Amino acid sequence: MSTKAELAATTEGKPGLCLLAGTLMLAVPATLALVAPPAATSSGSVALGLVVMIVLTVGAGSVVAATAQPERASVAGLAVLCAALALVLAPTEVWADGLSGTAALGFLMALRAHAAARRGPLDIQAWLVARRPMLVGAAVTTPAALAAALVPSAWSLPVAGLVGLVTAGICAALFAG
Amino acid sequence: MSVWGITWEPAGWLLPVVTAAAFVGVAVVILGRADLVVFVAPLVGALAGAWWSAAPSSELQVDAELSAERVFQGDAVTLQVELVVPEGVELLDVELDAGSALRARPLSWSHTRSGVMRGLWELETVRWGRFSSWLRVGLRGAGGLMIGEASCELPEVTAFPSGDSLSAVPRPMELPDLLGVHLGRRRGHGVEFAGIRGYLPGDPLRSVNWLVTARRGRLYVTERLAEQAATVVAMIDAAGDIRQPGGSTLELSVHGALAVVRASLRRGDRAGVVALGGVIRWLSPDLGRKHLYRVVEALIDVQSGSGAAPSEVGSFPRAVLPPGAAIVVFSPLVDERVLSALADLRRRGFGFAVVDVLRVEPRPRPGSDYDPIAVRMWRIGRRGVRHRLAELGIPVLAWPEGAELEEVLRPVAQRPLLGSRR
Repeated sequence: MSTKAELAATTEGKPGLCLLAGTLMLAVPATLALVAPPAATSSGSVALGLVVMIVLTVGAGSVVAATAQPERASVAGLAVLCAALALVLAPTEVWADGLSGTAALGFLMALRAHAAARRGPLDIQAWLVARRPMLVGAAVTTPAALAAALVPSAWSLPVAGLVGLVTAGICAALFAG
Repeated sequence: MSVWGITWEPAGWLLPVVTAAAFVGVAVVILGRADLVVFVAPLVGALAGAWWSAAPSSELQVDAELSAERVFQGDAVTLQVELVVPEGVELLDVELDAGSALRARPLSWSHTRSGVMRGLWELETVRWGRFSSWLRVGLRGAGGLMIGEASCELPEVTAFPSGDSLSAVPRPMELPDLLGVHLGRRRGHGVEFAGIRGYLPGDPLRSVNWLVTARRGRLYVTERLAEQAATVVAMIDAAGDIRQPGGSTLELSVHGALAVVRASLRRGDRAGVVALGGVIRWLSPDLGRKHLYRVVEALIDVQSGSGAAPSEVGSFPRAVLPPGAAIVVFSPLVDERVLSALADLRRRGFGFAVVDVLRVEPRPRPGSDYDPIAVRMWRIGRRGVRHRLAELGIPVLAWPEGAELEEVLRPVAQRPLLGSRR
């Protein structure tokens, strides 16, 4: 006879963090679409706006569903995909992409923390320390990608490499201390 | 606290997600929206960082404790397990594989302190024997990139068979010359009147029957029956094990044998246990409570099949089957070797009774023309076996479902078992 111990649903977890990060992730493309909409001269732009709205609605639903069931990775993936799709449809804005991407990472990590907190008491500080390599990785690649996107394409690779190196050095100095 | 290895492997979602992300990345570049790389940069960085540090601990510390390691069949024990989860590793699920002989019920699961999880299970022993259980632990490490699994062996539970309580067990006609509680045919120093005879030199004066002496005018003494101990051997047919409602044939045999041995020892008799076929330690008849524990220990190891124990009576040492012992055989009476052994026992002059522990019969398959005929032939064969044994003077007692062993053995427990004179 095989018996599984009931590990889940011992506490409420931390759903607020997930909702906050998920909202920020979707709010960026939504703001872009509202503030700088595509030129409203053709019927195509109306349809595009409708599509963005649908995508964001699905994304919002996915954020709520993923918060309710943080163990279901596919729903969380759908929420991030919706954010990415909304950014593709919205006007180009490098800073907004970076912000939304960082929020997406925050949303995914908040979901993991939420799931862990539901299984039992969670020490957030220790939990973050255990995930330090992920945070350092994100801290290195995001400024590098941002810098690469901001400079002319001929300079993007060396600039990205340089920024990446500098950020990595800063992280190493910070954490070594 | 024991340490068990964790086997890590990449999480199942990793390959499809990375492949899909690569395709999306290529599509984004082809579409000319290279700026979207900025969106995925934090995710890729986190993934790379987790992969860079993907060396979660490969050791899981487990502390398992049973409330009792030795119990009787049907009793329950509490299993407490403490898992020390390594830093940076998440516990996904814990599964207790207790096998078919233990019924496991989870009681609680809690965090005791940072990184230490404590689980409580109740294990009920369904049958006797020694049982190991395994804890299978699912883990997630390296930020979810690696999925780990650990299997930990938990302490063994030993379940002793429990036997019915018997007030009387069969005894042999010829009692050995041992002090006990049974009245045999031998004259001795008991309390039961046996007869009167003339005084012989050496007779104690207190045995003189003064009434008869005064009437006859010469000395007469009162003879009394000696109080002797019997030797009882419980024999288990372990050549096969047939599953049936209310316990398999081997389970019933073990329960019956234990009940017989326990009742005999309580009565002050010598009792032993042997098996035909299968695997068991022979235990020659002996006295006392310690011997009962030895028998119980030996019965735990009974296994069916063609094992170490012989299937011929002649192979048993004389000490295991002493002449004049009363033997109670528990058998489903389906193995021809066992039937031959029973006939051999009878020829050697043992007095014994057979308890038939088979409670089921073959069921014909629906729609089959020949199965009912085969079942009828099987029934005729069973009747033939009983007839053969009856012709040899061997009483065969059926042990139907719901009947106590006490009622089953009553017909043979009321009078001594007849063996042939030696």
